[in-house]
Amino acid sequence: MRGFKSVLAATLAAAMVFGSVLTVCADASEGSATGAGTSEGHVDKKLINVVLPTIAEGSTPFAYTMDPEGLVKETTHAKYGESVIFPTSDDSQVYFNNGKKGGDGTDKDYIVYANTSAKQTVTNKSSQEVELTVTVAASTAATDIPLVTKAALSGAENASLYLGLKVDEEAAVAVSTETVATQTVTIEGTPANFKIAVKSDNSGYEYRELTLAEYKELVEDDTKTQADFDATWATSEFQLEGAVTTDKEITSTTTAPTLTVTWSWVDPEAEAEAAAAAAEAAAAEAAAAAETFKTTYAEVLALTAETAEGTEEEAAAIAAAAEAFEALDDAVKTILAEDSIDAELFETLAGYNEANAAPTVSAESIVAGGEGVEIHLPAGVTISEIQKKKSDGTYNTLPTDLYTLEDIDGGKKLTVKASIKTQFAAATSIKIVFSSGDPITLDVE
Amino acid sequence: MAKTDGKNYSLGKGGKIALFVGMAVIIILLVIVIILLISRNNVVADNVGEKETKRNVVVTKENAEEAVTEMVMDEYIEPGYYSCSMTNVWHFATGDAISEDAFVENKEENTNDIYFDVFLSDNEDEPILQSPIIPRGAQLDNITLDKHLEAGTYGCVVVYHLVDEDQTTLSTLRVGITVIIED
Repeated sequence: MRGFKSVLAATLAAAMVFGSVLTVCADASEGSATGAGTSEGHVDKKLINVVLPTIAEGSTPFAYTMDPEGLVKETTHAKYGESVIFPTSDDSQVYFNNGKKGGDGTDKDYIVYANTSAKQTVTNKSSQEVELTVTVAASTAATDIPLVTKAALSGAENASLYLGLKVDEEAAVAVSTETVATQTVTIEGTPANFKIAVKSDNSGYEYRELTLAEYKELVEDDTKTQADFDATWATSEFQLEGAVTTDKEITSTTTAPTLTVTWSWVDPEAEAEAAAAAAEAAAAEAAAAAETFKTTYAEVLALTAETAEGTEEEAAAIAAAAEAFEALDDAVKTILAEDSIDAELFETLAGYNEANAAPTVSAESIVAGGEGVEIHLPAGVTISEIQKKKSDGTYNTLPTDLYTLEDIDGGKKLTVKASIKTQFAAATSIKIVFSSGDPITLDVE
Repeated sequence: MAKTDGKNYSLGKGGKIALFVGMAVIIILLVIVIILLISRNNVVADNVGEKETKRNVVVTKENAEEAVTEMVMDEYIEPGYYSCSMTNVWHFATGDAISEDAFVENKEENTNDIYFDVFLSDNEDEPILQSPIIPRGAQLDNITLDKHLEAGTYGCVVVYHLVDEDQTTLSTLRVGITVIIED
């Protein structure tokens, strides 16, 4: 008995403990909590920075020497020996200083003149690609040697010069005085070289280029140098090539064109976004204009061959709608065309109107005693009189017992009795006179 | 007044004349020095703005020797580079307003201070904007144009000048931008 009581007491005690625990757990799972959040703001993850070559003051971009008479090599070697290196084959006789040969040989200090300029590098140190354009414009002095294309050089009648702008491995574009030579290249960005970091003054966040230390950490290589980091950016190389006619005389006053180099770039992503937004706005504007047109000219657009009445007001409304349609932008016209609203529609409506504006007859002659003819009468127009031709060529009233006018849909049906021929031999034609408009004459057969 | 052994002496007539002449000479010399200094500064300023640009060479029989000498003696100058950090479409609410997006930074990695002039592409005789000197590490924003433009979109050229400590241009760079006047 005592043991039972102990067990019972322990059991009850355990139940009490577990019960409260379960209650706590139940409260925890069904509970709720509130809290306040703050926004850290938005950081635009886009940075554009392009490294471009500069031009030393007093010098010209892509400085060159042109030698149409082939004097330079011979004169140089006579005076300076082999210490100046010129092209050994396919020499186009336009020379760009490419600096010293370099290397470890005895000729490392020799000056190299080539038919192409030293390459100039453009580096895109941006987080995204840029579309870079370089233009080269030439001076237009009267004494300048003419600039021609490479293909035209061999057939040139006078001394001429070719200068071509090259980018990477693309074909060169000739420089001319009429148009600027333009080359455009897309250079990739390097987003991996950027990060979002707290600003140095703790005023917020910024999207910035990695430091060298951060780059080393990124690539997990502590031996990396600034040069290694610099080599991660995408680049493009530009240069000029030249050629000159070799068998044409030049004067001592002939000058060489000077060049002006201008760089520019666009962010293709931003351009595409702007273009899409502009297209969307233009489409919305065109759709609205189309709806306005349909609303404004709803009555005209509702006309058909059956409903056109041929009135002057109707004709004016159709003309106004046609004129308004012609003045619409092509984009609006395209939208309206989906509802078969086009210039042809207005021509058709005008045709309906014209057809319904004057009485018409189904035949050019009427058989006396035959089926008769149908006369179409526009709204508001009635038949005033039926006349017959007299022997003197004039017309007078045809007696009503010699014809019948029967109502039909859209007008009248006229039949003439056969006895008209016997009673009025001269009545070889009859005239239908209307309340408005010109009469219609029919031959009597 | 000269004063010796406790007695006062006044300058005689001759002394006064000598004093007057001496002062006149000093004043004249000062004026001459000032004039010389001003004219020297003008010459320096003129020289800074008018460094002659070297032209490309056409070799003829008459100048072949000279041209060759120049080719050999001319030092090859490696192109310099400028890290160009700027927005390239500048919006202005009106021709006199401050732009909210025109921005030019002379990055710390560049080698020189800079200034820039902005021209319309079809008129590079008259700048529409002349910037102050922008040191390395500094940037320029809140830009307004020096010349009022009517509403429209304008193709423009920014001509950067990389300068030394005397603000003498060492090298230049041309960059095309678009200026949009909204109203």
